[in-house]
Amino acid sequence: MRAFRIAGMGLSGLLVNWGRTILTMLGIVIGVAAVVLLASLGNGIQKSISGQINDLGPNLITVSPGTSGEQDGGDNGPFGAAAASTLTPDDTQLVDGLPGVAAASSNVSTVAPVGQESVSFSGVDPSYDEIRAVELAAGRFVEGRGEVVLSQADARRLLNSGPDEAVGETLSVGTPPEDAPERDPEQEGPAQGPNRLPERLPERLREQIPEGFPQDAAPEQEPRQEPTREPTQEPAPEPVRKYEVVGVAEASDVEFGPPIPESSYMATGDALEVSGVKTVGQIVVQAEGAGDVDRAVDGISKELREAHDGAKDFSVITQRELLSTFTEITDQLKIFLAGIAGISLLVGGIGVMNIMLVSVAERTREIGVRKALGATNADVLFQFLLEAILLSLIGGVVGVALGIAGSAVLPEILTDLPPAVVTGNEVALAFGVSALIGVVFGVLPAYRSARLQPVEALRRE
Amino acid sequence: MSGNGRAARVIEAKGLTKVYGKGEGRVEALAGVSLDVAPGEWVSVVGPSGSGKSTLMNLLGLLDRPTSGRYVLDGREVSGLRGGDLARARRELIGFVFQSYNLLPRQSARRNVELPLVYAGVRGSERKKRALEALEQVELSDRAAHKPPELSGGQKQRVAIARALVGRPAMLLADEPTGNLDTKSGVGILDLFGDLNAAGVTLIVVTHDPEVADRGDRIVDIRDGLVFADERSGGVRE
Repeated sequence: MRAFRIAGMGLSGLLVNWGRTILTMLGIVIGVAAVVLLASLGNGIQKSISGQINDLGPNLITVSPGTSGEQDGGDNGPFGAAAASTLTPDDTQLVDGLPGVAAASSNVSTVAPVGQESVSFSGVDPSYDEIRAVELAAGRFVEGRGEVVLSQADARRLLNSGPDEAVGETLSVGTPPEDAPERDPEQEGPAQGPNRLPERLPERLREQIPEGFPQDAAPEQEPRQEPTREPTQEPAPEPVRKYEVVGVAEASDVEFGPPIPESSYMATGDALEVSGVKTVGQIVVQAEGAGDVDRAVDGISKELREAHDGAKDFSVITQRELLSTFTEITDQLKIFLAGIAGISLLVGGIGVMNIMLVSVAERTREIGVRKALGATNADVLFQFLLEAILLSLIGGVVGVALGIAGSAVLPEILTDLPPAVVTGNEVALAFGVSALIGVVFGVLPAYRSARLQPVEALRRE
Repeated sequence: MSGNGRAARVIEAKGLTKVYGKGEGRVEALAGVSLDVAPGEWVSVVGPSGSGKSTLMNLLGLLDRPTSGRYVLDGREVSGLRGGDLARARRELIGFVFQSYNLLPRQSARRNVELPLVYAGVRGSERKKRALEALEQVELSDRAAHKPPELSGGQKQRVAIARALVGRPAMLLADEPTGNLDTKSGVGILDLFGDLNAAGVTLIVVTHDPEVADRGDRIVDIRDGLVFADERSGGVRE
């Protein structure tokens, strides 16, 4: 009960001495708010830079057919990919489930007649949108079969319309029966040229396969032979089908990494059907993070090789240089931010320490009076501890609130700043350190004063 | 007049010494002081600066511990007390009146008077009642809500006296109680002491002012850490 009375007295003292209370609290408020604000702004900048770098595609992994280890995705990308096609949509499915892989999409390039025009299509899975960050000028990305996304150029060429008007239009893709003989060689040309290559390449590969290896038992080998058979088996491979234009793609402005060719998109299944092949030109993979790229690459190489009966008939390509630049920048940014947070924590802490020391020092005489009137050392310490805890807690809460409010408002005022990102860790750290410093430096000098003989404490002015 | 239920002697001090420092810097502030004070007595302690009278007051007020000697206060052996026990003895047995009042400046007169009761663990409503009674005793009931800066020096000292009385101590220990006051206010305080003493309060007043000393029943003169003289003041008065 006695403790309650002393506590009550201490608290009413805080209210009565509101000027000193507010000033003391202000030190903690400013310290905490500064740390929260700086850390949140720093986080925002880091996130913004990471995002911009991520847009460049450092997490991108390309699986191409052929054994070339060279990074030639640019040349080989849309057209050449079909050259050594040993990859199937099943492979894409397999890759998609591997550890470290965020998403995977097939990429089949084909050219299809639309009315009088020839249009290049990339047949891709819905996740391609995210993997390569396809910017849409209107509508949405392809989510299933029977849908196409046109490039702006194609929208103008085919529909004579801008992005917004094109969405919702219907296209007839394929050769009308009467046009078939004329159109056939024209659009088979680019598609068939590469299609001849697999004939030679798989033979070369077959030589590498040990004798006695049951080649026919491997289902993966079938697709390699498919393209050669198709033209003879299907005299009219491209029946006319109706497609809905669901979106129009923005022209790509990627500065680094493999360029995204200006292209129109359709579903992988549609592209395979239109082109009459069963293999995909490329598998594009997004690793979960820049740090997961190596793990993902190892998994893809191992699993695909197993699926291909041990044949390393594909290459896995990463953006190695971009990746190292990326990690270098983010590492430096992390150190820089840690430095800023550390310095603001130090400055805030010293502020809190200072005001606490001053506030307690000028109360030495009060401590003497209280002791003369019968307060024990423990009573005095209890009162100062309570006051310090209360001041630190309230000051900390107000500081966190101010810091969070500041990180919401500041980027609105200074529009060049990216939006701040407030994380629990930094808030907890700022709050914890300031509160700890507040309590320690509120109580430590009080402890020293309480241990003085009352006479000495009374003598201090 | 005699203390109701109190011991026969309020103060029984035998051979109190206090030594500061060691070796070369060793200073013997008190060389062995013995003093008995009966309940209801008004004792003035006088002596020049450096005589040791302040040291004696600190020892008698349990603000400092003697180097050696025996001190029985209101029948309790207190010379060996430490820490919490010392603080408890202080708040139960002694009421302090300081030269510079030592009031908490932002608390009202009533709250200042309540302070010793807080440490005694008395609950709020009872504290308030007793504080107002004590303020009435010093004729300051109408100033209970005022803060020290709003009071005159004499009024501040009255608040301090009320604060000293509120715990019903065995004695009031005053250190130059009129030192910061003009003559008129000082006389007022001494008159108040006279009234309190007449009501049975034991008073120890440390002073260098002969006029203040003469108001006591007895004058104890301290020189060089020893009792130089201890005599009735009756004959000297007027």
